[in-house]
Amino acid sequence: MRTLIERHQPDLMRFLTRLTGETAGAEDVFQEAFLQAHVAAHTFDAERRFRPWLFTIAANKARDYLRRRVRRRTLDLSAPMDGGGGAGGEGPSASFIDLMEVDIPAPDAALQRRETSVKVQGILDALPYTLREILLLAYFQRLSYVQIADELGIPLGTVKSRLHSAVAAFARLWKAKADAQAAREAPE
Amino acid sequence: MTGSRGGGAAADRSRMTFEPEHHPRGSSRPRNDEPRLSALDELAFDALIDAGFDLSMVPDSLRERAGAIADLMGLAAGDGMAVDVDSTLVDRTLASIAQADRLSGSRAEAMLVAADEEALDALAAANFHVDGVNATLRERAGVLMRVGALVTAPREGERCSRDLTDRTLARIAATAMEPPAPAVGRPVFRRMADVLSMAAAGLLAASVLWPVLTSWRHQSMKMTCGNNMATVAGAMSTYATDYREQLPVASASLAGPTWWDVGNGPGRSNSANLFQLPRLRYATLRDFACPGNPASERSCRCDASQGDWSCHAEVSYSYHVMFSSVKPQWGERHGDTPMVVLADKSPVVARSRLGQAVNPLENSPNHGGDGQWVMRSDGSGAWLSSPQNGDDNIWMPAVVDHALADARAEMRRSGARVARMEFRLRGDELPTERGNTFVGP
Repeated sequence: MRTLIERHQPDLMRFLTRLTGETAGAEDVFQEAFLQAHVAAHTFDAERRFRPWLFTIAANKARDYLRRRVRRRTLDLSAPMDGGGGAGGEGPSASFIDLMEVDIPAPDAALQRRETSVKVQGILDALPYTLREILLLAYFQRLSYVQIADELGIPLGTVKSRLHSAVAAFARLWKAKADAQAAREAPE
Repeated sequence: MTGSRGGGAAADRSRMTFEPEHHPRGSSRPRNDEPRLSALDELAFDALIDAGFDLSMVPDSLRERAGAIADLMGLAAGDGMAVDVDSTLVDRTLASIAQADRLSGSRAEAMLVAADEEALDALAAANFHVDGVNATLRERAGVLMRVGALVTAPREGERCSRDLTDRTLARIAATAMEPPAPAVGRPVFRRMADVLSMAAAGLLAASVLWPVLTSWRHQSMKMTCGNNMATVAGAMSTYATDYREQLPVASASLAGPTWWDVGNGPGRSNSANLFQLPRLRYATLRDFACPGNPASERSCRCDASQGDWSCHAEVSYSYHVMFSSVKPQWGERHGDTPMVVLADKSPVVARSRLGQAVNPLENSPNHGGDGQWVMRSDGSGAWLSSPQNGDDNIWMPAVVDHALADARAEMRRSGARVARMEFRLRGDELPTERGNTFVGP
C-alpha cells in the first residue's frame, strides 16, 4: 500500500490541489481517496487500470469536500477587475474561442513562475466544478472520451461537450486575464 | 425622495426580510446557508441600482423598500449615514456582482471554433498524444497540449507534507482495526473433560473443513497473485509513460546463449528486463512474489539494486522475451485485444531448463495447474484456464504456434490423431512476429 501511495502521490496531489484550490484540503481528500480505495478494493475490476479508478474516486471525494466546506467564495476585490472595460476585455461578441489566437505559453516557458501558477489556479477556481473536473481528469489521465465516460459514468456526448466547454472557458479566461494585464502595463 | 422616514433606519430595516430558500429570478444558484434578500427586496435593490441610486426614479411600488435599502447603505441623498456601514460596501458589492456576472457570462458563452473542437476530439482519440493526431490538426493539438501543460504543472512552491504517506497509512490502519471486544465473562475451560471435548470437536471440524480451507487458501493465493498483477500493471503503465511507451528493458541484446540464465547479468536474463520495475522503484519485490511460488518469500529478500532475481526458482512471473527486435509497446494492439506481455511462471521454461520435453498446453505451476493470470499490454488482466490464447500459445514462440495450428487443422480435416509432437526449448528462441506472445523464464 505504501508503494501504491508513494507512486501516485505526486500526480494525485497536483490533481487535487488544482481541483480544490488548496493544499491542505487536497491532502485531506488524498487520504480519503486512498481510504476509500482500500475499503472498496474488492470492487476493483482487475482487468482495468488502477490509476483512472483512483483518480475518479479522488474527484468524487473532492466534490464532497467542496460541498462540505460551505464555501463562501471570497472574491479578490482589491485586485484590478480583469477585462473590466480594458482593451480587449470580454465582450458578449467573443462567443467563439480560436485557440490559435490565444497566447498560451509553450510548456517550457515560465510554467514555474509564480504569477503563471496563480493565474492558472485563479482560472480553474472560476470554472464550474464539472468543467474543472473534466478538464483536469482529461489532461492528467490522458483518456479518450469513451474511457472518461466509462470512468465518470456519464454519456459520451456529455463528456465531449463538457470538455469542449471546459477548454473554451479556460482559454477565454486566460485571454481575458492576459488582455487585462496588457492594458494595465500599457503606458497611459 | 429625500425626506426622513418617521421611525428611522432601524424601523425601515425591519421591513427588509431574509429568505434563505426563495429565488424568484432564478439567475443565480444559492450557496448553502447564505442569507438572501426577499424577492421584493431584491427587486427593489435592482431597481435602485438601475435608477442610479436616485429614489425618485424607482417605481412607486418599490420605492419604500428601495428607500430602506438606501438608508441601510447610507446612500439616500441628504440622509447622511443612517447606520454605520462600511463605506466601501457598495463598491465591493457592485464589484462582486460585476465579477460574478462576468464569470457566469464567460461560462455560458465560451465555445471553441470548429477546427479546435475537431483537434480536441482527435487529440482525445489519440489519448492526448500529439503524434497520434492527423498532421492537419497537429498544430492546434499542440496548443491544446499547452493548455494541458498549464493545468497539470505543479503549483509554484507546491510541496505536500513529508509525512502524507504515513498519515494516509495510519488512517487506513485506524479504519481497518476494529477495537477488540473487552474480555468479559468466566473462563472457557474449567475441567479436563471440557478440554478433551473441545479438542475432539476441533479435530472433527478440521477433518470436515480441511478441503474447504484448502480451497480457500488456493483462492486466497490466486487473488493475491491477481492483485500483484494489477499492481505490476500500474507500475508498467507508469514506466511506459516515463519511457515513451516502451516496456521495461534492461538490455536490448542477448549476450549469452540463453535468456533463462537468471541472475547472470542483464544481457543473459530476460527476467532482468522485468526486474527493472523493482530496481527503478516502480514496484516492490513483494509485487513480483506469487504466493503459489515456493520461493516467493525468499525472492522478497533480494537486493532490489542487484538487477535480477538470484535464481530461476525465485522468479514468479514470466515476461515477454524482450531481446528480439520485435518489441511490443505499451498499449499495442493486434486485432481486437492487446497482446499478453506478462503471465504466471512458465512451466515450459522450467522443464526446458532441466532438458525435459514440454507440453505446450501445461498450465503454470503457480496455481496448482488450474490456470494462470496474464497481463495485457494495455494493463488489463485476465485469468486463462489454458495457455492457448486464441492461436497464440503464450509459452511458445510463433513457429511452434504455427506447428500446433497446423496439427489442429490436420486433426479437424482427417479426424485422425496427429502423431505425438515433442517440443523442447533451447533458451535462445526469440519472438519473430509482432503481436505473438512468448514469455520467459
